[in-house]
Amino acid sequence: MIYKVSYVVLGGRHPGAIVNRDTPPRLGEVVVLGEDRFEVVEVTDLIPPQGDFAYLHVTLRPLRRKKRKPS
Amino acid sequence: MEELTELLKRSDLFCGLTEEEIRQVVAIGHWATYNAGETIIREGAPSDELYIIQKGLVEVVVPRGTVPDIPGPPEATPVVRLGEGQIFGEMGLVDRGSRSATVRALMDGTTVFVLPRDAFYALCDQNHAIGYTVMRNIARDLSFKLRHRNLRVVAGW
Repeated sequence: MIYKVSYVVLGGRHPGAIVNRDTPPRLGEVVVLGEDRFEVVEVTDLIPPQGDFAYLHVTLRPLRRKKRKPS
Repeated sequence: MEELTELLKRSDLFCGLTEEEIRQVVAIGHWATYNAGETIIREGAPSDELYIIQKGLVEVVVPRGTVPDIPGPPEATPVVRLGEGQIFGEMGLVDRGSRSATVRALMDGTTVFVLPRDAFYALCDQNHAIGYTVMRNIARDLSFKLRHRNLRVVAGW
């Protein structure tokens, strides 16, 4: 099964993303989109599955960026 | 060819097609690779191709509002990022209108499969099963993106 996921980020500043995954997202999981890290706070079916594809909605909460150590 | 077919099977654009039908689609397209920051399609340009992301990440940016009576963002605004298996440029494939957004690669080596509209329409005329299935999948993808957008509006409140 391929999981087509709509990532929506709380707060509206991040545009979110649509990506394919090989594993289903889970509550509490940390997701990395580019340079930003997020925590999964909600997972729901968005539309019914079709063929080998499942269609999910995931709400993400932004996590603080790691501070870079001074060189 | 077999490797390309396997890659494209990971896009739901081809959900419901047989391997032979996917091979027919592969035969009319080509591949292109972009580095981070490169523009793949530009808002306002003519649209004659659909793109399927095989590797990497792109960002879709809508232009600032330009019509006085219609509210729009004050500046160009990213509306979504798309990863492997996702499609863009499908609106132009369906309605032949100009590009509604600019799409840029966010990662070096972002690779897309490019499907020319005229060649695709010719294939659909030859094989209605391919045309029906792909158009149904495009409709589902547009619906999915609209639901994503609606949920994003709610999340921003």
